[in-house]
Amino acid sequence: MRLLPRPDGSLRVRLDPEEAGLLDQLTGQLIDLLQSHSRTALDPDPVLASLEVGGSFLAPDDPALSRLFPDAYEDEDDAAQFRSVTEQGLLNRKLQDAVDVSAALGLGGTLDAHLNDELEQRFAESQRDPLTPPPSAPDPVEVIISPDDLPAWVRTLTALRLAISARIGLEADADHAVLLDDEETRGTVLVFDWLGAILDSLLRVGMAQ
Amino acid sequence: MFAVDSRTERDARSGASTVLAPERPWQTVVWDDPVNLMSYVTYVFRRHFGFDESRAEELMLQVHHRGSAVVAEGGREAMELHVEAMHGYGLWATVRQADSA
Repeated sequence: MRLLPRPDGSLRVRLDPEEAGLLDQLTGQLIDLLQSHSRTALDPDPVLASLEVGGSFLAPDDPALSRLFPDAYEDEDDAAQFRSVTEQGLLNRKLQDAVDVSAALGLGGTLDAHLNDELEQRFAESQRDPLTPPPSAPDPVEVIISPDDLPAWVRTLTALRLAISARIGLEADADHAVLLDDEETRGTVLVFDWLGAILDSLLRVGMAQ
Repeated sequence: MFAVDSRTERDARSGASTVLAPERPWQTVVWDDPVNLMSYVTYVFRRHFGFDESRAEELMLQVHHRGSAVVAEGGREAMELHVEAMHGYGLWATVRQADSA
């Protein structure tokens, strides 16, 4: 990933093909995850849908979703009440952010799960040996991120990291080293860190503009 | 480069004045987590609350070192809007009523 500030205040981001493919795939998975929890599409009442109410009273069972939509109150009843009026709106906005990022990447988010595993593995290998040439699709992907686009990018990168952390059980600072040492989770931790590096660069260069 | 959201800044200010009301004020509390980057938490505080860099960093470090920080105080509805915004950014935040003084 290479990042260059441009005179007009936007950022030019150049991603290697496997990086762009992986980011596109992960963003597609986030969109699927959010849609699986959405009620708007199923809500027959357009007024309710437009008011963005209709969220659940209960915290989602899925750990990734429950991290994306945490309780706002310690008290269960207050948390449920708050959730019922805010969750769908939050979900819609997260979905819109992810759709914007996916559209900017322009790859369609249509890679299948098998390819995702393969990309993740290739990515992990390329982290071990930076001299390994990209295996296919030689063209890098270039994205221009304007100041107005930046919030959607940083929120989506954060949502991805939150979802990944919930999936692998990264719940405390000390978990990171343990999960990195475990062959099962190592590749995922590398992806998690890579997303963090992109996020940090976008913020550093974006805020300095 | 980033426009300050003057509406939320005003809300936070008018919220602060309700501290003088007899009811205990409500608080927006942001909690530490192992995922969110320090640079990101600072960015969110600056962008949403309109804090300057040093104030945003001070609160971020408080979250990081003490495990949580009260980032706004005032009426319950205003705090709920802040918490909803924090959740929108993926920060872990809750609403609570301040301890009686």
